Amino acid sequence: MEEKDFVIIGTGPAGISAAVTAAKSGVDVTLIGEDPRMGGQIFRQIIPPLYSQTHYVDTQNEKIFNNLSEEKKKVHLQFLSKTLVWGIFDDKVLATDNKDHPLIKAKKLLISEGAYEAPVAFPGWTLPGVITLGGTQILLKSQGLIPRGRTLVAGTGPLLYYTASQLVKNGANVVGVLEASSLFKWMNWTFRLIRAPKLLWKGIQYLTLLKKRRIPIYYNHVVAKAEGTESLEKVIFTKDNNNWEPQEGTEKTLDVDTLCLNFGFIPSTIFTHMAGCEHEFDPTLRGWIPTLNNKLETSKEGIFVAGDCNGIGGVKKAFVEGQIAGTEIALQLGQVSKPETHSFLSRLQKKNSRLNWYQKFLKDIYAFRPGLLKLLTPETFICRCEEVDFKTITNTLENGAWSLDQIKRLTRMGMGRCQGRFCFPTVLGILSKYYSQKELNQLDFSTRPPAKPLPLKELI
Amino acid sequence: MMKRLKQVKRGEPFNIQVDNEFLTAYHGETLATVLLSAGKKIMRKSLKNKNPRGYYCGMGICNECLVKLEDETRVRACQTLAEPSMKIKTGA
Repeated sequence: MEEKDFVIIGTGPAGISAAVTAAKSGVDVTLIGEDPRMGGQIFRQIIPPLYSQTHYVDTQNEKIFNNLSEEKKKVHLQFLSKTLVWGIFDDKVLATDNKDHPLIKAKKLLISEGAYEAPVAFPGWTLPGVITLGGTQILLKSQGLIPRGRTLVAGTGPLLYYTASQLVKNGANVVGVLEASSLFKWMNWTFRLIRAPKLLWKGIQYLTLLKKRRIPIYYNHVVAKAEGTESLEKVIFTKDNNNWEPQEGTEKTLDVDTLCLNFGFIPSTIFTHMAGCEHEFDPTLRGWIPTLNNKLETSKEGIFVAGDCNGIGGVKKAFVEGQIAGTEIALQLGQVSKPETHSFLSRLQKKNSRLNWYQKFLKDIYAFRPGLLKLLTPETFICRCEEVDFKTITNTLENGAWSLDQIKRLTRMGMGRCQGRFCFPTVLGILSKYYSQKELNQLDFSTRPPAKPLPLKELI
Repeated sequence: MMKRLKQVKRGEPFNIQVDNEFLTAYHGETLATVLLSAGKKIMRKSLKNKNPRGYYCGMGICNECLVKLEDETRVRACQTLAEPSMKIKTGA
């Protein structure tokens, strides 16, 4: 088996920044990513030979991106692209689908697997044409593609306005933006952005553009239903209250070809769970966060976590966390001495805690409001892969099932190809009504390899 | 349901066979891009109820955009690059 000093899973801002930091201190670094190019979701670049003069990478992050690209050139990194890590076993042994590197034993491991779109189930959400806002961004950034036909952007948070204005600028027909929170709430949140004037300015620009193009923003509105025979044709939406509960009798209908949805993000913890790290459940995220010390090491010695998979904190925080983990790992591997890194590390830690307000800001905006569960009808699929509906889940709960594993065994929920990524959050939202935080904390769930489906021929 | 931006330069087009028709593709494009640009939203049918499913997360985790290759293996349309002489089946 191959042995490596420092292995990083995930090539977003956290992964690259840790790689560069450690490599600069002389650590032998191996970066593993599933995509052909580094960057993760936020820095997704166009796939060559497709070529564009405009970068669709978010401009406010362009500086960090450019700096990282420059620094990356100066150091030696081994990058295993198009490589899927499908399992983490004891002693930090990784199994991959890369023929040349099937098994890798890491002395130190950094997991920076990021986050994914928080799913919100409602009737019709499985119809083709209903896509995530992240998926919309990926098509634009890496493929130069925008929706054709009538497009509705819905959910909550700043990404709605950013994406809507980006689509409009590129000629898409955006028929509206549905924002689940109220304008009053937004005015309150906007005040907090005074600490980040550049961000505030960007937000104002997005809103101004939408206003100029007369694109209606419906505050306090949620999607209640998506309809169509073979694919999306109509969206029915309603007013909501501050709990995001749909209000009966306020239904409106729009003809829509593409519905782009975002209700925030959920940290990916498949790998930290598989590695046996300790976690804490966060009901506002409807997901788990790995328990870390101030150097970002998990409860498992030598396994570190950085970036959005440790709570949604954005690019800047991911970048700083990558530096902290990279420095600490260089220290533990004996490449640098303690006195050398002491002041650097404490500076980074201070910088990181100065960014906590932004994490809190995102957390308050995106915190799950249980009113959304009122969108569920008995026939609404909660588990997309195994087609388990709401009625089956409530029956199982009423018959005494209480843990995720029990629901899973009784209904097959979470046993499909997405491995529970798109159904567990909804079920955890439902369970939050039944259980206290303490009980939910004990509700840990088990993950087993493979982390993502892979053809049997990869294993033999 | 999607359109290609004119400002993005694409090389020489080639064809891939999708079900019983030929669709235009460019190097660097994923199968999802080729299908969506041609207005083909349905990529697979759900296992139990055979309901139509298509591109959803775009980052390779939801597996809703699975299509069948000639050798019967299933691949995620959003993660697989289109190559000349490819034959794929949708709605399977």
